[in-house]
Amino acid sequence: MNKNILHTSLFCLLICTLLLFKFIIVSAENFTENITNNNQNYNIELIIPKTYKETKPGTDVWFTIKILNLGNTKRIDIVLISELLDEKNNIIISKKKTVAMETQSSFVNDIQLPTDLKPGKYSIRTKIEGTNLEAEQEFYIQDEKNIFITYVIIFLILLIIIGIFIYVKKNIGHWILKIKVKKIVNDRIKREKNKT
Amino acid sequence: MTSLLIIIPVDRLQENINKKIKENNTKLGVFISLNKTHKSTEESLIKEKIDTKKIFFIDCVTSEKTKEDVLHIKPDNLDMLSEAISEFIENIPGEKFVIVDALSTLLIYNSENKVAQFIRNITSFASRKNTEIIAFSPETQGEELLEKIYNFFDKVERR
Repeated sequence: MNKNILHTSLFCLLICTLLLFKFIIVSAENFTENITNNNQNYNIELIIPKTYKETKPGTDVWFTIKILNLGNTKRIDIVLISELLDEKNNIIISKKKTVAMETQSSFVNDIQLPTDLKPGKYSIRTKIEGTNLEAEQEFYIQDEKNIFITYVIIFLILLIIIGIFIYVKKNIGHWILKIKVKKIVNDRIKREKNKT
Repeated sequence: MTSLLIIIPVDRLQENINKKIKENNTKLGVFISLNKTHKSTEESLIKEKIDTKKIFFIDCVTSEKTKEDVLHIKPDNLDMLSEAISEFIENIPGEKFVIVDALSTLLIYNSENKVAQFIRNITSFASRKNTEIIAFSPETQGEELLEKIYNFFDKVERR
């Protein structure tokens, strides 16, 4: 009996862990949202992978910049300005990078978040210097305490579910037996009463 | 109400069971069949013109359900068996008795200590609920167990 309970709880724990991993993996998929800004023949896109949509202070946020210049056939140098903005559009960090491009180019860039950033909504904006072209994408800084509390709550819920499962499995046979015996006795008594 | 252990040669076992049931023919009873199927036990009782409608059977030999009002419990599941006996005692109205045929059979499936614990449970429960327990055991089997469980019964008879 005890072995059965142990095996059942281990199996249950395994299933819950797998579900949790599945949840994490699905969340981490590079699902993208694009913001596009068109200006004549230019097109600029900024993509922040889903992994960095909710992040913690002090981490590197990686993003992709895609630029399309339909009017240009030659190789040119452009200066990209990438900025980290808070909710009120205050610039927290600004980085410049010169890149060479032809008709279509894609660049990977990153911004390291300061460790003292408060939880909330932030965005990364990339501009092409000398133009009014820009693309912007939002992401969130999470409170580390909240993340911890969430995991604790999930863990407690799992424990409660496993506890309920073990309790039910241990007692269901007894509940069924009680009902059966009661039914057998009541049916027999009723039958005998009806005969008399 | 008493609990009684009857130690008897195998060839006189059925005869004595019949006699005890006849003595209790005004009461409802529970018959725990450990060494015969419900069907053959019922047939033996009917032959002796015993009203089996007053008896609830717990069949520990077969697991196949033949009748709706017969409970089938494996003889190695003493917790369940103990609980079933208690439930019958709780639910049957009025005076009642319990017959165990035959105690030593439990030793094939369980350790002596477990069987002794089981006996202790059912005799103490029956005593609290004013129910008579009559347990039979063949003379030649499980002598060590019998020595362990003597004290749980109010009376022990060797026939």
